[in-house]
Amino acid sequence: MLAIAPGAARKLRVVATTNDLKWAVEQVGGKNVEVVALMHPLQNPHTVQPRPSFIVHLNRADLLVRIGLDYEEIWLPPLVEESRNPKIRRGGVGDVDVSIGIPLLEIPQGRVTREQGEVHIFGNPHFWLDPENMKIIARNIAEGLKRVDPSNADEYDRNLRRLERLMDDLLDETLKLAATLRGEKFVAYHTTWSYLANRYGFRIIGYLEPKPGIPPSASHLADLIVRMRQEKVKVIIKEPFYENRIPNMVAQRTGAKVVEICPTIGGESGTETYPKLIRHILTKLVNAVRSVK
Amino acid sequence: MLNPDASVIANFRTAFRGKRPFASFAGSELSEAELAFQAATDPFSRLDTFIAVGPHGTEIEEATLSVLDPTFLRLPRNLQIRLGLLRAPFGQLNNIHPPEQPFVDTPLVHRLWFGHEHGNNHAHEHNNSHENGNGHENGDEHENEHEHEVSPEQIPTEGSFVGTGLSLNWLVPTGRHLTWLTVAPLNVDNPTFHADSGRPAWLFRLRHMRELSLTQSLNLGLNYAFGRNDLGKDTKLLGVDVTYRWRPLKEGLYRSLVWQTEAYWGWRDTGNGEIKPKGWFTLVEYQLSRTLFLGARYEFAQAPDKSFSGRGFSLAITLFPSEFGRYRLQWSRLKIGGQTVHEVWLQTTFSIGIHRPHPL
Repeated sequence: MLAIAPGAARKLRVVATTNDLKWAVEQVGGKNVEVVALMHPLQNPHTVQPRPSFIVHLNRADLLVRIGLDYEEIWLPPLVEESRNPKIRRGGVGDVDVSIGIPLLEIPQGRVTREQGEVHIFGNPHFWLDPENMKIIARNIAEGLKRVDPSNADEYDRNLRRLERLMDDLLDETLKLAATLRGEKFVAYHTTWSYLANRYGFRIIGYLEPKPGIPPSASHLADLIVRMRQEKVKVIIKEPFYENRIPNMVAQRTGAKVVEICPTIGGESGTETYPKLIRHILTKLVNAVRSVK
Repeated sequence: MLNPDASVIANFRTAFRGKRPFASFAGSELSEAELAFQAATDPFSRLDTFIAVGPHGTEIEEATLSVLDPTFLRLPRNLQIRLGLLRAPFGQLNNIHPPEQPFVDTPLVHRLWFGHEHGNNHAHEHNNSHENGNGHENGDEHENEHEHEVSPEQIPTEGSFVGTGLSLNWLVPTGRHLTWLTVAPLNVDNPTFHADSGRPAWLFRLRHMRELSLTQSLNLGLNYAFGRNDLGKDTKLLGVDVTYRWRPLKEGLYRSLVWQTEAYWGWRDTGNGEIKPKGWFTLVEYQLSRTLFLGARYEFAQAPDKSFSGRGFSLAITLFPSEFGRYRLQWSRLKIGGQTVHEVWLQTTFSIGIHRPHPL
């Protein structure tokens, strides 16, 4: 077991793939960890251009915390290989896949083919946007920290319980905040918001992308516009890393409003922590719905 | 569950070639179907096998056992050992299999110096008479007045520097930047090095990758190789490569730029003197939209024995309807051995299965 010696002064070096995971590691690891996030919050996870510093961080890491499923599959495995750090290789003592135990949505049924686009073959990976799932993420992180640093296991358990209480409080608060969203219908660019919608009771009835990762086509958009009119959808959600032209065109033809929301901590001002991120997203959606009624 | 990642990349090409674009239909072919099988063999190593199937037959393009965790051999973990049939650590573009490169054909210097993956070296076969002279030197890049007549059709469309042997790669993290040092003794058989010479070619590559900003990086390489040529005499190569990459954060799905330049110099001992060929290429690929890329390449290369030289300019527009498919239209103007030809290519490349992305 590659554990840090008890009493060692050095903090655990943790690499998280996203800012959301970085926040969770800092909550659970407390003063024992120093954490870096690889992806910039404004970056599309599908087009991450690996930088040399990624390999430097991975080479020195005690722990790698990743979303898992196939979320980072395009860019992360070659970097882990190049980092020459056996601790963080798949199944290594320092490899933490936070998706373990998450009740996944949109797991493809039957035979999966590329006809379905860049479908997430294990299920939708944007699960961190549900505070209930953040508790599971934190449990996986705590397990990883205890593996590489068993001497501080009690502290990690205490921090985990505190984070779980924080998530319970956040849920109580935000379910009230988002009460007006219950039953509302939205259109989104990509399948980012399924877990948020599931928790707070709103529906995404269609996507600008005809299939995940496939650029919008004219025929698909024509059908979507008809459906938005029929179902009286007035809000389109898009992430900052998608283009504006098509959402604006659809909004113009349907009278809908485009609301731009970053699904990751730090992508917008006022979203420096996870609770702030969830409040910020829900407030933006509530305001958008109110503004079009 | 324990099956390796398996994929097939099919590469179809149609070419028109002549003194004018579309002058004559040069042919249409399945240039290659690349079968890849890749998996970890155990907690320490992985195996990558690429098999090329095409009109020229079937051959193993690359079969590499990579020892990713050499600590079980009591070696430092920053050392990576690769064994087998390898893509030679010489330049940056040579790391990429031809179907995945940004142009239909590989750069002229690769085609002339490193032959063809499927063994069409006609252009090299008839040029030894040149070496019976005094190995005279023509230092500039102007085409030699006494060049041998070489038809562009005789030049292989692709060339890759591959060899069988061992590669030791040492990673040196330096702050936010990275440096790699690679040493590889390889058994190489191409127009530059000869496999039956009784000793391997030795390759050395120093690679430095700098992070210029969150959106830009610069890759610099210095390459050196020495070995025996087909005359049983010494040949040395020196190469430098520069690759600049830019991808904005927010618009990264829609905009990116890659600029790559590589230059090679050779010293070929003929017994009667030394011949010093050279070659270079510079290419740029700019992403116009989510699915469209525009590429341009300018290049020059002399044959390894300087019996002829060539210069080319190419433009390519590539459409990616999805991550797994690609249509490419390319126009090239080539002046080789005193003849000028235009080539128009249509390439379609599609992949199925799980194909591991290339490393940095």
